[in-house]
Amino acid sequence: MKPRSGRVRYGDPLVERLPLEELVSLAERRLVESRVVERAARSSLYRERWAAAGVDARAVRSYQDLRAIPYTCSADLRSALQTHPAGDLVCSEDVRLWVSTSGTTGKAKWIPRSDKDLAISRELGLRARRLPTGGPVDLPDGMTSLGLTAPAPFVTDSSAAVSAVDMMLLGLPGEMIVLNYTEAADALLFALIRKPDVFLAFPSIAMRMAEGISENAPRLAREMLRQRFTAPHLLAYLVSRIKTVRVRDLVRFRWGGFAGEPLAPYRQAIRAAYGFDPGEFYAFSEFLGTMGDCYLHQGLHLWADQIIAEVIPEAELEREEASPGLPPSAVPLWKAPPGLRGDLVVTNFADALPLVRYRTSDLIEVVSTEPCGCGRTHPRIRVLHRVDDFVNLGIVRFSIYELAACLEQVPGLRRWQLLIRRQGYKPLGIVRAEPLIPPTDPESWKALILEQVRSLDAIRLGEENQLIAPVAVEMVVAGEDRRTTSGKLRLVVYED
Amino acid sequence: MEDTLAIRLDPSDAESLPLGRLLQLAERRLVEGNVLERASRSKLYSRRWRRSGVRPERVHDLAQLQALPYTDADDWLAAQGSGSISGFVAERARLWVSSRGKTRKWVPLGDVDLRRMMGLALRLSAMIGVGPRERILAITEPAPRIGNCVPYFLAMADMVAGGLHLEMISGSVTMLGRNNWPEFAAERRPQVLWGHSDDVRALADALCAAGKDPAALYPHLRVLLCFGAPLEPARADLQRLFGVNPLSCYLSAELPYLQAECAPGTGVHLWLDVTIPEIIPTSELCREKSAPGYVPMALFIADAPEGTAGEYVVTTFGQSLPLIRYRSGDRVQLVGKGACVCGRTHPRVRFLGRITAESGA
Repeated sequence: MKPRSGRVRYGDPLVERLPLEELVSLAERRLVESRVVERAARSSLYRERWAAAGVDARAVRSYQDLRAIPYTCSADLRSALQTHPAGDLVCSEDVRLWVSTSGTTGKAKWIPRSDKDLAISRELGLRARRLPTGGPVDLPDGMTSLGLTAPAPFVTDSSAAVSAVDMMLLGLPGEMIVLNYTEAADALLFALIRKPDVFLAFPSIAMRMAEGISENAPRLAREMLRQRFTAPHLLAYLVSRIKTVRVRDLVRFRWGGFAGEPLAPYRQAIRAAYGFDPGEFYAFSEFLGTMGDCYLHQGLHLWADQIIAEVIPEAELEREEASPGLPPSAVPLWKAPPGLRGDLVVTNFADALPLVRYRTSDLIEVVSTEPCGCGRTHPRIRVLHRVDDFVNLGIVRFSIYELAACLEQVPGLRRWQLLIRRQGYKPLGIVRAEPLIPPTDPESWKALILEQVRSLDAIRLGEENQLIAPVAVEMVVAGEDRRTTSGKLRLVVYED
Repeated sequence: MEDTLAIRLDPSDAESLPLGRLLQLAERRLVEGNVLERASRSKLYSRRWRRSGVRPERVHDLAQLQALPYTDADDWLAAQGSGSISGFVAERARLWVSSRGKTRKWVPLGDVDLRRMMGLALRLSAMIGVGPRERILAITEPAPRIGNCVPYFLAMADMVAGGLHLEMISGSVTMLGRNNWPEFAAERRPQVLWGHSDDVRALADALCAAGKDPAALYPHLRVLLCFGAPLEPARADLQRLFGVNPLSCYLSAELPYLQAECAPGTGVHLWLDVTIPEIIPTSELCREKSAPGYVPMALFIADAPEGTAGEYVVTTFGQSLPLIRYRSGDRVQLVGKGACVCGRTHPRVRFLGRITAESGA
């Protein structure tokens, strides 16, 4: 099955099933035809570093040529924004929108999007819509979806307007209710009465909503009955008087898709609370569009015609840590063996700011490069956690340096390590603290550490909103901390 | 795909038609667009109209429109809160938006509504003098409020039909102090700042608290567009803070039609090609207040003498839920009916505040 006239038609589902080698050559052709590297060389994100590395952008004609280009990471993007005007980032004639990352450390990353970029997002959005179909769940056209978003300048703030207009332009039937999570409590009742078919949210917020609904079920059921006296609402009200009510007792979604943090720890809980088989999406602000898993849940399909994905294996990451300055080597995703873990590196064909060998700092695991049972041929991965200095407690995120600055205030603290595990589905942070000398009152010392940890806004808000389990402190003795194979102390340890 | 994107946005250019032609246009749209028949499918109107013996098919002109009963926010809340939501919608919705607050009015918008809003967003940008390749800093409200999506509608409208190549940077009050959007936006040198007047004020306060002068931070600002509340008495303050004369934009979830002051700032133009505005004069409001059950008389804006003050009543040709003689609860004063210095012929009003708040006071 060859792309027609050498081009894949916009929104063509056939591209999801092309043999992998054809997808790879399609991506390679795009690499050349879009002159993405040449355009990127104009951006302040790449210009100086590439010049220093002797990169000849015009000579990049294949993946092999691309491999000679140095990696770029989020710190480079922050640095480019600090040292150059934002406009210097841009490689296209026009910018339509700017989107931002959280900037919880005060250094938000800003990413320009042009109309061509929005078109790529639209294309990938069409693919994402098709992902859950084909399985046991019936998802007919024209469904009502309920989506949760984050406030501007996060990328999802525009999703109500942009998605509605996109669907209108594409002639796709469907209805949308979009709630910012800061407004969700007020607006949820109406949204539930509208009986949406599809739910799109962050996993931790969805579960917090489920908990809140169960806690408030009698009041909520009474309110729904008051607003609409129907048999199901009467039943829900009566049930709420005698048993714990779950969301699924009040509203029956056909399906839900989740993004913003790995779904795996929440999957079972969401299934139990909402009564559907959840799907997972993967996206990040710097990248365009959405990747996701199909109904078989055998990993996230990475669109191989739209990105050139590589993996820096864990062993290489450790080598890099031991010998800073030595660039680690990457494996192309389409040649990576199943089970390989490492930092995901992406090159895309964006217009306003292409990503060229961009290290996502997401630790991923390769699931398979073989065709999936759903018929799609795009390689599949699993996203595990961060590999950089960002601590990821679900959607509660902060820099390890922020935490370090807080803990510097604790007297007698020799070393510390943050252990992250799960308490049920909620992320739990445990600070393992090693004192210089045994404190006279260990409990007060631990309380002081806890106080410092909670002075971080992200942690305090996460705990207050019950998105994470309360942080714990453990006192340890020398030698109990976890280290890399080279003996370096790991400040953050994820217990997957 | 590119062909699909090149859509024709409604409304087409009707900004300078003579007043009489605009009224004819509105009347034709009301009748030929089957607006009342469509509205009668919504329980917002159907029950009350049945009780009042209203026969939508018999309304053929503006005079007959005035025989229909008013609708107000209480009717809205009662209708959206009872029975099926599907019965609330006149025609298939694409997107739901809402008003602010705990007791929200939910408004369904269909594709025709979206196209109309996008067209009006482009009209607004021309009216306030937005030029090619200019940059807009939009303080967006959280979804589902109408103030969330309207700035993005302008960006999308420009993308598919405008050709101005506008650039948009958005921020929110929620993220003030948690993200550097005000400073980043300053670097992009926006010419337009657009937001709810409370949010614009919050931005100014946050900047001042951080020792920054808003006017100095945004030296290229030419247009400050505020919606959500009458500009007076904050106008002078905002002008001092941002160094530009703010313009007032009337925007509500029920009436998301971006009716705004033109650059000379001589009152908010009410778009007669997409709405039929009326005014219940203050004297009638007083009679209603003193004699409960009394139904006050309204005047079409085109028939009201300049200077008339009263409650703004509006009829629209909306797709998913048309407004039919909707009492907005907003007090207006008719400023002018003659052609404006900007060349537009649509009547101008000044918004004076909420009727309910005033009564309460």
